[in-house]
Amino acid sequence: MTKLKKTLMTGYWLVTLALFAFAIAVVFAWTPIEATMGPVQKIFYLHLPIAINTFLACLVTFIASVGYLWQRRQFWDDLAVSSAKVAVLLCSIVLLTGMIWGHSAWGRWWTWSPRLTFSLVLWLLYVAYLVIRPSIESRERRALVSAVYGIVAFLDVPLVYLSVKLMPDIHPTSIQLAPEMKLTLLLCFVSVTLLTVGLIAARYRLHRIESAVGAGLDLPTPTKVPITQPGDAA
Amino acid sequence: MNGTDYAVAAYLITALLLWGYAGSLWYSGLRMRNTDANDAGPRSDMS
Repeated sequence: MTKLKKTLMTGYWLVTLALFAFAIAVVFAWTPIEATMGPVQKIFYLHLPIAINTFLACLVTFIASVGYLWQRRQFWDDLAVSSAKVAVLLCSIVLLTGMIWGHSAWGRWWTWSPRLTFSLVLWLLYVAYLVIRPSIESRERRALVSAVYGIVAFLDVPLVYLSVKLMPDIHPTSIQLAPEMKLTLLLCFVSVTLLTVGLIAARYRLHRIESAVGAGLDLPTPTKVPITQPGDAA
Repeated sequence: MNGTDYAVAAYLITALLLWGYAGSLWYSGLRMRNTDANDAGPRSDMS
């Protein structure tokens, strides 16, 4: 990695960290408390941007899967699995923050409402994506199966999004926000999006190194060649 | 627990998971680079 690239990456992560910390400070110190739900509504400023970024990460996996089927380049498979890993992490956070909010607002951690159920299905689909991959030994076959699976799994994303509109339930459809609240939401969205992009890029870079190490060998660990000294022959 | 406690818990869990994952990626990258550097050492001596 060049020195300039390294400096740019360090700068990117420092800006993201600073913006994330600033966004949390703004949520708790400056944003007004919502009248109906009270302080627990502050979870919304993190819950919604992370939910949107989950969809974006799933979309990247979908695009990369289509790209792989089209071009059969390893780059697309590496990108697909990297964004799928980030999607699982983000979806886990969406479910957890939603459960915390639900316990405070509805008095229970979980309810089988359409949106919550489709969100759980989305999480399970992408967890299965990551579980299935290592069980396929051939690199090409693994990439091919993952690409087809990545396209099919994405079908749940529109279901999660539309479920609340088509099947109204306990999950709120929209919340009236004051201008300060909208600004806070925008700030949180920008910081979470920067973090998501950074995580996918970092995961992708690491995956490329891992792929390069295993390329052509199909071995879990590099083989060690014994070094013999001149005196060992006798 | 009141509403603020729930909100603080949600933000703490989120920050820990997101930045914990970012930290683990950074550490793995660092370790892999160090392994590469260690592997490169003896080979360059032998050549």
